[in-house]
Amino acid sequence: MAAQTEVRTQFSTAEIETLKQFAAGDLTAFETLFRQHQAQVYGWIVRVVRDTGAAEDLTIETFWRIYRARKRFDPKRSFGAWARRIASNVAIDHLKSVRPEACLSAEAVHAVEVDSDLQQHIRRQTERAFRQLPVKFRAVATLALVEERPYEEISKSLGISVGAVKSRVFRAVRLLRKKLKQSGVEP
Amino acid sequence: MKETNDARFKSLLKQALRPISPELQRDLWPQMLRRIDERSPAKTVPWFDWALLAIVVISNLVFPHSILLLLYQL
Repeated sequence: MAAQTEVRTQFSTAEIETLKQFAAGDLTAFETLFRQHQAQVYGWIVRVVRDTGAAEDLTIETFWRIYRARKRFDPKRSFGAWARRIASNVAIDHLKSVRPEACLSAEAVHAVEVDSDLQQHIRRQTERAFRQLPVKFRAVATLALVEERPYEEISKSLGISVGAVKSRVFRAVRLLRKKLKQSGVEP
Repeated sequence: MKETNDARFKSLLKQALRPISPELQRDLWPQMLRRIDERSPAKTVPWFDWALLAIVVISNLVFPHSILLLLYQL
């Protein structure tokens, strides 16, 4: 009850009205929410999938799922948190559907003509090993290690406990180390 | 030791993965509207209504007296 009161006080009357109208199927209210949250949703997705083109499509997919599920939305809850949770699921589904090797060539371009052969080799092997990680480890490792997002934020967005986030990061690092050793790179 | 390890992997991953700008470059609302238009159930007349209309028209042509019956029902 106290939590609900707290949530209520976070939003203005106008915002709650917009959320209610959205839940009732009002397209104008949905447009308002879309424009308020599209940048945040896109930013989260692109951090996970690391592909700007795909992130735009996935942002649309996220809001499409939100639009379809509008009747289940509780206007007393945070729209942003709900949207981010759905965005995380959409991004992870996308990662599952893309072969790990698919992004290698594009990523490799980044390293060309900048490094010595050895550094380039290490980069490529690291990236290859990273792409081969199971998706649920890769998503968490990207957010925690590369983007340095707080564990709390990751846990809320993915709908898992902070302990599970820590465990996935730990296991991702352990797997990465193993794969790198197998390819002759000593991290 | 663990923190050093994490820092080492952070550094390795940041070097290996292409930097990404999290800023959205354009408004996606027009695309969203297209998606809603494409995927929303079309507002068409169900086939059953068309069949019913066809039956009424044909029966009126074959049995002109049925027009009176139809008018009475309306």
